[in-house]
Amino acid sequence: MSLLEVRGLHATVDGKEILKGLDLTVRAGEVHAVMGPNGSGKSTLANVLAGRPGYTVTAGEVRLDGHNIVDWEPHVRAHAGMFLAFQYPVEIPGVSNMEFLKASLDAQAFARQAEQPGAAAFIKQARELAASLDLNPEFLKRGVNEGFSGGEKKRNEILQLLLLQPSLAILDETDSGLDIDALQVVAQGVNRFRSAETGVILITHYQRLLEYIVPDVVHVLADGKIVQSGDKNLALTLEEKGYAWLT
Amino acid sequence: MANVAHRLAGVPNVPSWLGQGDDFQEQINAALNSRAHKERWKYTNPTPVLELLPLPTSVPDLGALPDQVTATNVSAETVNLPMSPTLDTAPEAYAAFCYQHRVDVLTVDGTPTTPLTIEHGARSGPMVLRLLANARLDLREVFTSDSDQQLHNLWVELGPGSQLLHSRNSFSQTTHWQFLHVVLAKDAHYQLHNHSTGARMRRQDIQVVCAAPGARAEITSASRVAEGRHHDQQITLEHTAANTVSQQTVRTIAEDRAKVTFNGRIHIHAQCNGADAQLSNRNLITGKNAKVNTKPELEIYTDDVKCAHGATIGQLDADHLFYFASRGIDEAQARELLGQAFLNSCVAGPLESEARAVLQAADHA
Repeated sequence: MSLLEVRGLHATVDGKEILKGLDLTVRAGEVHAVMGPNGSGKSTLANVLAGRPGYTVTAGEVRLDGHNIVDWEPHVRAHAGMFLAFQYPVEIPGVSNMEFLKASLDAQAFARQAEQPGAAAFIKQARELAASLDLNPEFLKRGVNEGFSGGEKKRNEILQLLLLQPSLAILDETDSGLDIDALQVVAQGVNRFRSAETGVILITHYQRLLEYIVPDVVHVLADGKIVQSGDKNLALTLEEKGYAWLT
Repeated sequence: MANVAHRLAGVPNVPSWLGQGDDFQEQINAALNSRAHKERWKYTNPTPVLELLPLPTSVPDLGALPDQVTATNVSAETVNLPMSPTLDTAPEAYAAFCYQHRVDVLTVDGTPTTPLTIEHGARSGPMVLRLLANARLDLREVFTSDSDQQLHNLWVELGPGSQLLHSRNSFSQTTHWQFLHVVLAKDAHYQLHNHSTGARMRRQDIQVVCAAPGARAEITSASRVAEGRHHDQQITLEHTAANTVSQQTVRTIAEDRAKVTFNGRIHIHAQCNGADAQLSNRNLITGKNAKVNTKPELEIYTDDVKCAHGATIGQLDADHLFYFASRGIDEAQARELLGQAFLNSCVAGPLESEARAVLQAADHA
């Protein structure tokens, strides 16, 4: 069974149709890159999959582990194993990172009827993950993303990915605004997440990220549909020729 | 208001130095009918408070008095009590004092090693707290009685160089009026950590006078006003001397149908060069049909001062809620955590943990 199966997905934002019959299948163990020009619907796809309010599915289905999740609330999708790494992670002063991470873990453990992690083990793991992503562990005590640089926010997203261990990760332009060092750290984190049980959707503008996270499949999204799919070489072709030849 | 003034006609305990009979009656009448007074009571009906004034009061539980604190009580006849300026600024508080036959006076000389904790019953008589020069005190006031009507008046005089750390937790749910008046002498330092819930009616009047150079007052306040509850805070900061500093940070959460009022007035008198006054009031509406009235006011009669004030009324950010949801945290818990975060910086001081338990508990009052 596929991890994620999207069939004939149509979605609107503010009454305007952005996704116009999108199909996408991600199997466990696969990394899919979704590329495409500005305004093609890449971020809309990420937000629709995660269930963001304001994004309305008008037709089609999204199956996660076989369940149609179109009507599921976003937190329930998270419990079912979906994770969105945000293009613009929000700053939430007053809620510490540590508190936020623990609340997320506990909520998911509770939903899965699993045991909630002990406080000591949790703190140790969070600190180790922070260090592995070149984040000062002191950041864990600060407000969620509060005063973080763009790169630190993206690394914090990857920290959450590794801590929460979802089955499907959607990375929405996680590479944007990163310098080459930060890009490598983020890519190492994603590669660490890859396994035979997990799937990844990388939404990106640039081929650069795919040098560090090698995708199994590359898709081109244009005007709300997947117009071309191929292997990693498709990304190189796009880098060379742009998107114009496809549409 | 006039009929209320009439009701005060029988005030039994008018100090002779104020004048007698008609004279007093005229003064209190004029004060209760003044525009300033009506403005203070614009959003809360004062009648329940005025009806409290003649009712009998009791001495609150002072526990074991710390060393260096002495308690006496005096008749209101005694001159040299700090109430007289209140006639104009809060006539109802003044009248409350006039109704009672005694005033409890606590005097602090030195630095007690233990805090002074006052557990208030339903209606405490008027109290005066005096810190003599260079005294220091950790004062904790707890209001938990759920008897029907509550009234608490406190006048504080801070001597030169003295320091008062004042914490107040007001979590009762009935009609509750608190009046607090603080006067700071040279280099005195006053710090108030105010925590409260809403109530059937909760009215907090806080008047602080920085009366001599070097006086410094800091107020933080965190309140959570649950469904259908009432909360009205009136804070006045008077700067009557040069080089005085005040800072107010007030945060309030309003849930379904809560009624919240905040009035923060900063008054910098003439010839107060170097005064520095800051006021920040933020209100978060988390429920439906809540009503928040907020008015920061500045009145400045000196050129060389630093002043800033601001008031906001907002709702929870949908992007924040979605960020939580995307990590598996449902909306109810996300709202709870974001509410805690909003109040967080203003839940502080020696009564912090008790305040957190009430203001940040999921099943708060």
